[in-house]
Amino acid sequence: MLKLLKLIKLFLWNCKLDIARSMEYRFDFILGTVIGLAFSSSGPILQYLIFTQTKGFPGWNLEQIILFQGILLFISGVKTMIFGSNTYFISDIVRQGDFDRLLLKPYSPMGIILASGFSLNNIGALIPGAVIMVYSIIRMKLYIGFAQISVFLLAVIFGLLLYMGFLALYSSIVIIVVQIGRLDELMYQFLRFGEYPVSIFSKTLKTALITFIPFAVWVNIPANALLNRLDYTVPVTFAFCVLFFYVSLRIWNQCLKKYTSAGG
Amino acid sequence: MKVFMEVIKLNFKVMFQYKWTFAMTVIIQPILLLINMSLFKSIYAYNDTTSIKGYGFEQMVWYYTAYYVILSFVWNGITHQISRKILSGQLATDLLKPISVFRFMLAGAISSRIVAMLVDFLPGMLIYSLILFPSFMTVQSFFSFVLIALLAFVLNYMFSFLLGMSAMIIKNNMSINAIREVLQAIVGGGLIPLEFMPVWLNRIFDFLPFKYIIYWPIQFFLNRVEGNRLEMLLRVGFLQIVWIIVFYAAIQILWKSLIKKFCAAGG
Repeated sequence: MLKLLKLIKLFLWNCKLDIARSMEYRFDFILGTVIGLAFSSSGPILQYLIFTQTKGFPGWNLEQIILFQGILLFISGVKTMIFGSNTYFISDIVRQGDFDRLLLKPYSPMGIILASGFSLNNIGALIPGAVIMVYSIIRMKLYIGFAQISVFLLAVIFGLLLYMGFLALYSSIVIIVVQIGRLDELMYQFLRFGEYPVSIFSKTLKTALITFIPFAVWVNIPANALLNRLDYTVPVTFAFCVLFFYVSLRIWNQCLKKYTSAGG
Repeated sequence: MKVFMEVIKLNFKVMFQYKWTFAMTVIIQPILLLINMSLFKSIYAYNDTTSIKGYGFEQMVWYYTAYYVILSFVWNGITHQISRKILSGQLATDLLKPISVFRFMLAGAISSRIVAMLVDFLPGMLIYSLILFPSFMTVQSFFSFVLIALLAFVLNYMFSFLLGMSAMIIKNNMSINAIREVLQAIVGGGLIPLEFMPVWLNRIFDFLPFKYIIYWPIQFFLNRVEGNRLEMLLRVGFLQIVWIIVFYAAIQILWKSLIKKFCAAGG
């Protein structure tokens, strides 16, 4: 517990540094935020255009899909703001040979990596995501009680845990192969399975997305929580998020044993 | 010309060392192909239709794959490379070479696309075709596509070089490059077929170069060119050449004036 508190403190220090850096280059920050928003919005715009010009996806009407897109933007914003710099950070320190120094620090290496990902630039997706979400809730006159808020928040927490699992797997590959271009792109494209309603996928894939690769936790569960249509699969998905994170950490520890220094 | 060919050969050897980075598309693209297959299978079935905005199921799924196929023809990192050369002071050394910076970087861009053809385009086409066979494609449409894609490569190179020259004034042009990428995805039709956009917006897009770099090569790839194919090929090719001439003239004029004010930094 004490270790965790120390890591949170380290994370907060990194946040302060990143905010100070962003404020130093304000124009770059504003431009970067706008560009970040444009990139994050590409998926939602695509789905919105498809939806407005066709009958859309099974099980979702236009208002519901706007809420879905709002949540998608919001969650993407949260993920990339907290962990946005992680992939760059780990690749850079391993290639430069600085990862060796990180091993000497009084924190767990994975803890330091995860605590070093804050990127204020990615706030661009979070704010409009939150606005769209609140707008959709008001427009659809959704009842939001304690249960809905609890499940929503739990989904965000377990979603972050799952994302940390992916970052641990990514870091494991990086410390073994040292440098392979576009590995982050590969990971982000794979994670895109979580950006669509699970109802569009085949039965097998749907099952996989709520169990072994529980991407449903990111947008599907929070959206269904707000729409009051949750089912028994929610705790199963949460449990698989924990399992995924645990297995990723085990893999990381195994890879760490095999790590040989690079760079210099 | 001999120097130019030598630079291409040399760059090819360097670029080939990064073959796995190029080949990563072959792993990434099937993931996207599978997502898009699920997405559009569901949409087409739910809408009980075989065509949306004139695109059949295969064409719609392949549209997004075609975007990456086009990129393996036209992509270059020139805009950012010029900025890096200015920030590091490398441009001063490049100016002393027996070949102009414009031609030197063009040779680099050609080499990188040859590598992309070998390790990205060719194996990629084979793998994607095994997942979803492009039955819409004909020999004629494929060669029309290659011709338009080659012109798109030249056009994109000119455009990138022109944007890259902004670094002579602002030094770091990363944000300009990022804005171009966003525009290329939205205005060029990389994000979604432009038929989904309002007609009036499409008319505006006609006056910008992005369509001729991304959208039109995709249309030829998907064999979606309506009316007389040869006439359309000549029309699009002509407009690409017009844009190439405009950009080339702008590069020549601006380069002469900017290089006089250029002061090497870094090192």
